[in-house]
Amino acid sequence: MSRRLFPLLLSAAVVALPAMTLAGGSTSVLPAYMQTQNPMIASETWDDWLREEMVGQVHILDGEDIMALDVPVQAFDAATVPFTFRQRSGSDQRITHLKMIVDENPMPLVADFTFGPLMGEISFESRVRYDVYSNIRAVARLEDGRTMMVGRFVQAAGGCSAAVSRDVATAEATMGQMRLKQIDTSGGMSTAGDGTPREVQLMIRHPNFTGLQVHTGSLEQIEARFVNLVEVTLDGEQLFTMEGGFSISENPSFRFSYLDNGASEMKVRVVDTEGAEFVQHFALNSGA
Amino acid sequence: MRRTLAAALAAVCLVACTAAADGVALPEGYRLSEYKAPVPTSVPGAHTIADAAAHALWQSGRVAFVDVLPDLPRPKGLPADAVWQGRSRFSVPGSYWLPNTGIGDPDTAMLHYFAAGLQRATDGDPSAPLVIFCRADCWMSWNAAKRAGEMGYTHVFWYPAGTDGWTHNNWPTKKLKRVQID
Repeated sequence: MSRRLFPLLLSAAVVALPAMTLAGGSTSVLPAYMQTQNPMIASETWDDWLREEMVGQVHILDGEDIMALDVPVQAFDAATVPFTFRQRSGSDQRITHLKMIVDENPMPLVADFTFGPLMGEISFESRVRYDVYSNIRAVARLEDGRTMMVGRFVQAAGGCSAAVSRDVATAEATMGQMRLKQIDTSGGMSTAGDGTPREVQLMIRHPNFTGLQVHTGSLEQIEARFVNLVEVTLDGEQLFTMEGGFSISENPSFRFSYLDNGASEMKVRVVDTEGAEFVQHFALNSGA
Repeated sequence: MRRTLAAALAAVCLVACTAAADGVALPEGYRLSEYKAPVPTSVPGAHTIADAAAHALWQSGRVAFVDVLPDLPRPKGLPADAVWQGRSRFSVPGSYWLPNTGIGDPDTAMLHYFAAGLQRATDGDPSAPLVIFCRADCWMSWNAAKRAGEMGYTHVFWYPAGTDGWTHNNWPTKKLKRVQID
C-alpha cells in the first residue's frame, strides 16, 4: 500500500465503521491495518512482575496507531522465528528506544535497542528463539518521552534448547565473521548524503549459545555465550546499539533501513558475553 | 462429588488393568540417566493411566497432580544483571510443580523437598490419590511415581503421556509456580 494513500483509507474506514456496526453485518470493528490474527493473550508473567522489571512504573500507551509488529502465527523452527518492527509512516515522533520481550522465555528480554536519528522511520527485522508459546512485545520510547507497546502471540516452542545448527567447533571457529548485504530499494540513482532511505541486512556469525543446549553425542551442557552488544555507526554517527540476550537466534541477522548521510563506510562492533570483540568496516556504494 | 471420584477411580482401574505389558524393561532401582527416552508401561507401586483417566481425575477436583518436569537452571556465563525466570511451565491447572524430583539419585535435600511437596499435595494423607507426570517419554515421572509408592503412598497414578498427552487433547493449561518449601 502506498504510504500517501494510507491516511485516506484510514479515514474512509473510520467513516464506514458506524454504518457497518449498525447493519450488524460486520464481525470486526477495527480498521484493517489494526486487525491481527494473533493478538497478545493475557499474561500473568507480565502483570505479576515482568512489566515492573522491564519498564518500571511508566505509563504504557497502545502503540498500534504508530507501529506494526509482524510475526508468524506459528513457526516450526522455534529457534529462528522472524519479527519485523515498523514505524508507521506519518508518525511525527522519532523512536529512540525499543525493547523486544518474549514473556515466557527463560530470559525474557530479547534485546534493548537505542536508535540514532539516522534510522529515520524505524524498519527493523531479526529472528528470535521461543522456549514455549508466548507473547512477543515491542515496547518503544518516543522522543517526547511517551512509551508505547504492540504485541503478538506466537505458537512456537523448544527454540532455546534446540540443537546448534553446525558442530560446535565450526561455530566457534567462524565466530565474529560478518557480512553486509545492501538492498537497494531506491534504484541507486540518488546522490549520496541526501537522506535517501537505504536498506541493508547485517549478518553476524555467532552461535549465541543459550546455556540450555547440549553437545550432540556427549549430551554435555554447552555454556552460555552470546552477543550482548552490537554497535552500528556511519562515520561515527549512531545508527543503532543493541544490548542483547540469547533469545536472538544463532547467527544474528538484522535487516534495517537508515537515511544515507553520505558516509562511505558502515562500522559494526560486536561484543559477546566472553568479552570477545569483533569489528568490521563495510564500504558503502550508496549513490556512487 | 464423592461418587464422581469413585467413578473416575473405577475407570482408571479398568485402564490400568488392561494396559499391555511390552517393550521397555523395568530397571532394577531407578533410571539414572537419559531421562528422555521411551518408558515402560508400568511402575511398581503405581497404576498407569492414560489421557481420559487423567482428565477424569482432574475434573473430580479431588486428586492432587504432581508435575516433576525439571526447571531450567540459570546458565553459566549469563551476565549477573540478566533477568532470568527459568522455565515457564504451562501444565495441568492446579498441579504441584516439584521440579527435578524425578532424577534417579536425588540428594538428601531433594528427597526432603519431594517428601514435603507430596505431603503438601495430599494434606499428609498417604491414602490420598496422586497423579504423577511430566512429559511423554519422561523417566523422571516414572522414577517419581515409583518413589512415591516406596514412601508409603497407596494410590499413586502414573500418567506417562504427561502434558504432551494433555495438550494434544486441547485441555486447559496454566503456568505453574514452583512449590516452595521452607
